[in-house]
Amino acid sequence: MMLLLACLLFVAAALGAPLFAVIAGVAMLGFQSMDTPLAVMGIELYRIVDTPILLALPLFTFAGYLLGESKTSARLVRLTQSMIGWMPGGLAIVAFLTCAFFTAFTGASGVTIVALGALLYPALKQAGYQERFSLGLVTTSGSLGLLLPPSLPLILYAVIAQQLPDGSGITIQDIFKAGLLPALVMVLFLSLYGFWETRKHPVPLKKFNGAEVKAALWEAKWEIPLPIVVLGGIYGGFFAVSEAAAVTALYVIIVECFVYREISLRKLPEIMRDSMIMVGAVLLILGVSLALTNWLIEAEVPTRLFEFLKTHIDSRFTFLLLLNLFLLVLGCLLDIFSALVIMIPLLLPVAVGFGVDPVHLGIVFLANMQIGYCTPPVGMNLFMASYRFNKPITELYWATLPFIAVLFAAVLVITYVPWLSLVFLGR
Amino acid sequence: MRRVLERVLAALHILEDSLLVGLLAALIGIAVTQIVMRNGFDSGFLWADSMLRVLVLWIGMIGALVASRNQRHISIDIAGKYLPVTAAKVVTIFNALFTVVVCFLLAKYSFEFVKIEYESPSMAFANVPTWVCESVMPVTFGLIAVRYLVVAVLTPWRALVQEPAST
Repeated sequence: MMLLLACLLFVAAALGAPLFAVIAGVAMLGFQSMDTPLAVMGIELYRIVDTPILLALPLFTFAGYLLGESKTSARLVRLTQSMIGWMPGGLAIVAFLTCAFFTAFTGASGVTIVALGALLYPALKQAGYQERFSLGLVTTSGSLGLLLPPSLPLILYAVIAQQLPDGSGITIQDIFKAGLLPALVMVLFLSLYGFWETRKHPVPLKKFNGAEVKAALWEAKWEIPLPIVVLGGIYGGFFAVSEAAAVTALYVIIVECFVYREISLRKLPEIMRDSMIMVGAVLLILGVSLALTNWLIEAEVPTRLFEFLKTHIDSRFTFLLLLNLFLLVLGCLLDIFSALVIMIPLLLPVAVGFGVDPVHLGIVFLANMQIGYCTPPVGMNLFMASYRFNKPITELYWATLPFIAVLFAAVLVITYVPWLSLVFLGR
Repeated sequence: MRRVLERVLAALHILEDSLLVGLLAALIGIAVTQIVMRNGFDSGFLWADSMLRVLVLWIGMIGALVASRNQRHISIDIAGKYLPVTAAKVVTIFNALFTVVVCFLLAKYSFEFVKIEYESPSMAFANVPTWVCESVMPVTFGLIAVRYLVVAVLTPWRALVQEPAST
């Protein structure tokens, strides 16, 4: 009977049943098999209330949606372009930087491609970049910046890791510091690729224009303080993360609705609702996976998994290599949120067993998952770009391929140089 | 009859939307007030922090409820994209019924949890008992179950309109 139900759950997952239902099903089945009263599901779900950091989730998501709906993206592109657009490969670098920055706030929900890709793609083509290169660039960049605070997946990783005995010491600040250099490595690698591309197919250079920088700065004067307040506040220890999130949300409302007046007060409730739908979908999965995690720990599944793997894998190096390959495949099948809640409870104890720092694991995991945004069959960036630029998916596969290769090289560096993730943590 | 049903449904949607928007507005308002009070006046409401965390749960649950209106929940949709129409319909019905069963169970067991808390009440914040805060769980799971039941029942009669779900 149990086996039959387990099979049913598997089939439902493969057929595309809502993942929260599948995870809840697995958790209930697990608890049932241990004769735990199932009212435990209520208790576990209610643990969302015991996790103060989750307060940041709706606030940052809402702020991100609001920024996505306003013309922030245009101002951001203008500003960055005026400052570094004159360099060789300048516009490509502008694209990487703006996307990374924007995604950090919008949490890689596909908003970046819609808001920025639509500006950058025509701009790149007009500047003389090859069609395929431009298309690949905007598609891949849609998830660049996942490792930068205050991105949603970073927050979620900290929340999940804190539930586990091995990761209980992790703070959100640790994770926020850990992602900085790895994100920089990704942008750097991609920029070098962009520079190399302009050597192969030269594009006319633009002159540096001081007046334009001034004008762009002036235009964006209300939004420039935002990252300074958020990041300075968090890193400087002036704000708790959830406080920074609240300030950000309010500040963005004031700036976009009342200063720039790009979002009418009529439209505001709609944006609030849409952003909270996403929060609901993510929180529900998180809630049921809290239950699943607890069952996994009680049933000692991670310990057994580690014992099993230890007989086959003898070093940290091999483990990390297999982890990279496994995550690459996983990223093709699962979106980042589901992958986080399902895999981290299993992977984190095993990784710690192999001597991997839990913070480093988080960065490796998310960096790998970022590639998954662009890989078939379910890479979200591919669908968003296909929809937005009206291109067949197959064309996008080819366009993104070189970028994926560059990103994977960056992921390998991030994986095997833990220093990049851990240097600011003082470990 | 049909007109009445549609009206009830529309009213329900408006109610859910307003609740969701109201909760978020309250979340932002209270969180910011708390920061101002703490930093500016060295005071603050004792109940605010607990209330904010309960608000997050409520936003999550009601957001999830709204998401199930047009099945915008996160899923691993590999098979669905390559199936012919009839098979896709069968799969949609199967998935919906599966979700109905799970949500029904979740509603039932979280209700049991709420009942236990009701019988030995404690306060979540200010004078609000914990069971009131928890009751959002059985109610929304029950409603999500109903919503997917409707999907399962209506699917055979409906043309499949599936836009790529954005998560």
